[in-house]
This record gives sequence, C-alpha cells and structure tokens, in this order.
Amino acid sequence: MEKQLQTPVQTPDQPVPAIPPAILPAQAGNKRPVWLPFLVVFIALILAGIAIVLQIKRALFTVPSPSTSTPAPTAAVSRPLSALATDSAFLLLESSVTSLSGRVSALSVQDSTLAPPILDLPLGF
Amino acid sequence: MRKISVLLALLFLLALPIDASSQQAYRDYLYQFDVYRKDYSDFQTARGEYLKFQTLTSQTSALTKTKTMLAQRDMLLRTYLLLLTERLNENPGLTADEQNRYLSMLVTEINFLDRQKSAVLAIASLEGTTSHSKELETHYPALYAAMRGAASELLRGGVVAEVLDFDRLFDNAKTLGSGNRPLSSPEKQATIDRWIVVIANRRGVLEQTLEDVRLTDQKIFKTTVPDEADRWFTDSAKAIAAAKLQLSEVTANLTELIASMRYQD
Repeated sequence: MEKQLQTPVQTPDQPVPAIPPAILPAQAGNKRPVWLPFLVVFIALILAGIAIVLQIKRALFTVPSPSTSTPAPTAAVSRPLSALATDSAFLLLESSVTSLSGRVSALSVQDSTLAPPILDLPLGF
Repeated sequence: MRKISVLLALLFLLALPIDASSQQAYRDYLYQFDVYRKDYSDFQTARGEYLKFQTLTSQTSALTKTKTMLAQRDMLLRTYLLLLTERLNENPGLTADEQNRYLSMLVTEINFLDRQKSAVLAIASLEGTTSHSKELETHYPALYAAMRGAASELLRGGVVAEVLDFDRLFDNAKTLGSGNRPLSSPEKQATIDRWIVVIANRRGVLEQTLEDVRLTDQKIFKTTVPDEADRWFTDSAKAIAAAKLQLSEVTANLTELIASMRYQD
C-alpha cells in the first residue's frame, strides 16, 4: 500500500498555519546599509595590504639557508690564444717584462753608501 | 801532478767573486773613515791639553796631532770622491756626456785635496795649521756641492737605467703588435691601441719627472751654500721616488698590454 503524502487540504475552516518570522525568506524590497559594500572592500584592501607587507618583510629579512647541494665544478673558460702566444720573440718579451717588473720593485732610490762624511772643519785654536 | 795543481789553483782563482771597483772603493772609504775618527780623537785630546797647559810639550804634541788629522781629513775626502767616480763609471743610466762632466768636476776636487795633503808636511806652527785648514773651510761649499750633486745624479741614473730597458721592451711590444694586426679582430686592435696610448702618455709624465730631477741636480752643482745643496738634494730624492712609482705603474701597464696580445679576444 502506497503511502502517499497527503497535502493538507485547505478548507475554508482551516486557516494557513503561520510561519515563524525568523525563517521568513528575505523579502524583496528589504534595504541594506549603503556603506556596507564599501566597508567590505575597505576591509579586503586592508587585509591585502597587510599580506603584501608581510611578504615584503619576509623577502627582505629572511636569510637564505645555505645550499646543501654539492656544487658542481664549473668548466674553465678557455680563451683562444693569438698567433703571437707561441712566438719565441713574444715569449722572450714576456719574460723580459716580468724581469723588469721585479727589478723596478726592488729598485732602491736611497743609498746610504753615498752619504758624505760629516766633518767638523774649524780647528778651534 | 804539478799541472793538476796549477789547474786547480787557476780554477780556484776564477771561482773567487770579482768585486766591482766601487765596492773596493767603498771599503777603502770606510777604512779611511775609521782612521780619521781615531786621528780626530787624538787631535781633540792634544788640542785640549795645549789649550789647558800651554806648555811647549803640549804645543809640539798638538802640532803633530793636528797635522796628522789634517792629512787624514784630506785622505778621507779623497777616498769618498774616488768612490763617487767609481760609481759614476758603473752607472748605465747616465749619458757619456754627463759622466764625463761629473767625473771632471770630481777630478778637480781630488787634485785640490792632493795639493792640500802635500802642503800639510810643510806646516811648522799651530797658526800654520789654522790658516791651512781655512783653505779647505773656504773651498768646502764648492766641494760639498760637487759631492751632493754627483750622489743625486747617481740615484737618478739608477732609475734611468731601468727606464731605458722599459723603452726597449715597449718598442718590441709595439713591433710585435703591429706585425700581428692583420690576424687580430678590430676589437682586439682597438684594445691594444688604447693600451699603447695610455703607456705612451704615462711614459711622457715619467720623462718630465726625470728631467725635473736633472735640473734640480744642476742647481745643486752650482750652489755655494751647503744647506741649499742639502735642501735640493732632498727635493731630488722625493722626485726620484715619484719617478720610481711612475715607472712601476707604466711597467704594470706594459704587462697588461702583453697579456692582451696573448689572446685573440
């Protein structure tokens, strides 16, 4: 036997049961405060600003942790040699300039052996 | 056996270090200075006793010690001048003309001292020693100027010797660089050309500094005031130190130029 929902049959003698005002759906025509959307946007902007500032602080003041990965040796950059690099005259020039550089570094511009004797000339008689 | 001994002796003699003449001259000068200090000390003692006691004995002793000191003083100055002449002969940075001119000055002074030393023998009294000493005292400013001027020129010559070597190496670098130009990229050529210009400019500044030293040294030779000679000697010494620094920098630039020439890029 089917159980059928029976909708209450409204009779003239039976009034429509009242629905509690608390669960009344919003009725068209109810007015929200004008400032409410602006408040929501303002609060959202504040929260976004705080989040951005925190992000910036984290980026500025966070010490990066040392890399724990093993560094791979970089390949030495080899520069192409000129035709002079193996020329005997050039190699001789190179070594001569190195020798000159050493001599100039060691060059003394003071010589105590050249100081003249200090003499007391008048006899004093 | 005899031949082997002779050969070994010859090898031994060849192995001995050969002293430069100036090193021997310096040792002679130091020895004469030691002798002079002793003679001067004896002279001071004898002079003190004579001035205090005025006896004939003290007078005779004072005369003897004074003459010994005067002769040794001339010998000391002579050996110092000989040291300067040997150093001038060995200095590769001075031109032949400069060497001859300075040597001539020093030889003039050596001849003066030789005459002084010979004249000491004839002195017979303390008054004679005083007037003899006054000849050197009067002449000393000119002698001192010659000594200081020669010493400063020797220091300048030491720097010039290295500058001459620098010039030779710079010319070699330019020759090698221009020979390699067809094989270099335009960028490389431009880099090398820039280095050459920088080096040439700095070399010009160095040349001016050395010329300033030379002119100051000529003033030393001409002055008759020992304090002035010392002041200009100090000025020259500062300029020579500056020249050394400039030479060091321009040599570093030449090293950079050569390093640049080593590579294609």
